[in-house]
Amino acid sequence: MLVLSRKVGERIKIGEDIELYITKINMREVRIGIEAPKDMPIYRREVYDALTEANIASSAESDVNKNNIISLIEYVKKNKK
Amino acid sequence: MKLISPRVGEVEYSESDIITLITPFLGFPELQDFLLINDDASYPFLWLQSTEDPDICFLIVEPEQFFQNYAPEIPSREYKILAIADKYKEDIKTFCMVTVPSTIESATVNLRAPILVNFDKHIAKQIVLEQDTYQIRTPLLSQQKEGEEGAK
Repeated sequence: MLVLSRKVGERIKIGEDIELYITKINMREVRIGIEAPKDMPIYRREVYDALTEANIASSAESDVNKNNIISLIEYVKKNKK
Repeated sequence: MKLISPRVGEVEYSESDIITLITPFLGFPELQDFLLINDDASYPFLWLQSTEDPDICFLIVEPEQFFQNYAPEIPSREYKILAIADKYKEDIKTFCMVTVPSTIESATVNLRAPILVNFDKHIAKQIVLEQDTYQIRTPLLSQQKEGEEGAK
C-alpha cells in the first residue's frame, strides 16, 4: 500500500480524473474533499459493505424465503385495507 | 423474449421493457438489465427481475406505501446522472429493496439506498443517502403498527 503524508490544503492526484484534498484535520478525524467524474461511485467503506450485504440478503433465493415473502404480501394486503 | 424466474415464474418481455442500471447494484457487478414487474398478486410490492441472471430477483416497494413522510435528500448530481432536469424531478420514481429474513416480523426495507428510476429513459440507479436519517435495515412492519396505535 502506498502511504503519503499530506498537510491541510495539499492534494493527491489519482490517475487523470481523481483528486483528493485534505480540507481539515482534527485529532482523530480528517476531512477529505474528492473530485471525481460524476458517474464514479464513491462510498464510505462501512456503508459500501453494509449495502452490499443488504442487497445480497434482499435477493437471497430459498424456499423458506419465498414462503416468507408470500406470507408478508398476504399480511400486508390484509392489514393495509 | 422469455425467462423463467424462481420467484415470478415465466416472464415474457421485450427489449423496450428493460431498465438498465447506470451503476450495478453493489454485490452484483455483472448485472445491469432488469424488468420491473408489477402484478396485482404482489401489490403493494413489485419485483425487480434480472434478465441476465433469472435467479436474481428483488422484492421492492414504493417507500411511501409504508413511510408516508419519506423525504430523502437526493443530491442534484444524481438527477443529472439520471438524465433528468430539475423541473422534472417528479418523473423519477423511487423504490426500496425489501428483505424478508426468517419471519415476516423481521422484514426490513432499505430506506438509506433507494433505487431511482427514470421510466422515460429506462435507466435506474441505487443511490446512497449522505445523511443517516434513514437506515439500510428499517423494520417494515413496526411503522404500520405505530400507525394503528395512533388511530386508536
